[in-house]
Amino acid sequence: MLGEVLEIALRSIIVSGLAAVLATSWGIPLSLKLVTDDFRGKKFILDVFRALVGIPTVVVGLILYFLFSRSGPFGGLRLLYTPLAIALGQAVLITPLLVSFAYQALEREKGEVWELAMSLGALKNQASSTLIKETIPKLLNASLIAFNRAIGELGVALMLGGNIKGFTRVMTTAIALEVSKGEFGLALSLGGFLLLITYSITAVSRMVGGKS
Amino acid sequence: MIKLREVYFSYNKEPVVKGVSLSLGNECIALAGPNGAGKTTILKLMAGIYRPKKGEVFIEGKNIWKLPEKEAITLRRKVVYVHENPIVLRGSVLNNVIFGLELRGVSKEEARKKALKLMRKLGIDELAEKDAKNLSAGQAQLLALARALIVEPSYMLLDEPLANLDWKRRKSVLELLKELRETGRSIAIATHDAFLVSLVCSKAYIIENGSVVSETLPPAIFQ
Repeated sequence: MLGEVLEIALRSIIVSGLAAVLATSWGIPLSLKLVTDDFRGKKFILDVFRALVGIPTVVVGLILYFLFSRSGPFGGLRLLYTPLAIALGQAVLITPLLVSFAYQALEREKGEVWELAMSLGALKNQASSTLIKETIPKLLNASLIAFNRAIGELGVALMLGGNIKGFTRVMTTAIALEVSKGEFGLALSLGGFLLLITYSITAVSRMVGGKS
Repeated sequence: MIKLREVYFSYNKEPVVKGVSLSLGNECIALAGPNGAGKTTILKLMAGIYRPKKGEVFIEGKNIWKLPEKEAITLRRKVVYVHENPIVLRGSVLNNVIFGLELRGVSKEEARKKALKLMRKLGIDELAEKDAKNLSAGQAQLLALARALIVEPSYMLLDEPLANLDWKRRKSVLELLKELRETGRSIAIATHDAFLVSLVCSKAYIIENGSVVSETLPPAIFQ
């Protein structure tokens, strides 16, 4: 039982870790763009992201299911029911959360760091990289919080992964399955493990955030 | 010369700078006025940090907001603005001081050498390896001055440069400002300090409610 729990936990960490990396790779540049550029519709975009923070995971799962299903526009990629599909789905799910946190962190620093760089003759891209450099602990904190959201979600993992044993089964889908089978012991072990992971990440993010 | 022509600026809807025209040639000018009058914003407009909502900003005869970034940067790099409340970056004091040189592509070794020489002159060389976030307000003010001076700007825009300094450091900064004037540096100072203005500046603009209400000679400024 322990071997199975560890295998599922490891898969969960890898899949959600990849999701956090993907969301960070597009979420941070997007947040930077929103902070440093003034353009029409900026407030609207920010409001949309804020509203999507609480989007139900099954809704994201459903939309991506249609996109990745055989008859969907990305059906040819044969991603459905693979760990990569779960990672992509979770990345989409956590992007609004990550953008909201990253935007807040960058916006707070912008008034000082950006202005300082500009006052000393920085090009726009130099000012941007200085801003990112100075905000790294807070951005890392945003990524960790987003990872926590990803590893704890069920809807996307279930709809895009299909809970295939030894392949796409992650902690949340395994818990749901074990509860439906009445196997509360394994479900509780997995739940405990999930809580341990999220607590550890929260502690790390608190430490990282504290340094900033 | 830096010139503002009929410049307007607002952070939100309410304008904070309203049709300001002024110039900074080879001289020291003071921007004086009550808190919230718009002095800091005017300095930031002069430095090309803020883009005016209306009006034009010229540095050495060129409208910097109509130039491509690469051309504008050559002019903007002749101007340095020093914040009233110094902003420090993460890292050591030395790394903070060489920041402007790094932006200009100067090698780290050369930058460090130059920085240590300047820091010795300002009496802050002992702080070189200290974490910049742990400086006192006065030390941070000197760091900000060193960071500005190291890039050898033609125009220095200083926001309350003597704030946070004790009398001994005020004296050395005053001497430094005089020395900068003697070497032909153009200086604009936003300040409440009549003493500073009378010692260094040749002209003063009185700013009230976002507008220049008068232009006067320093001895008359606080009458």
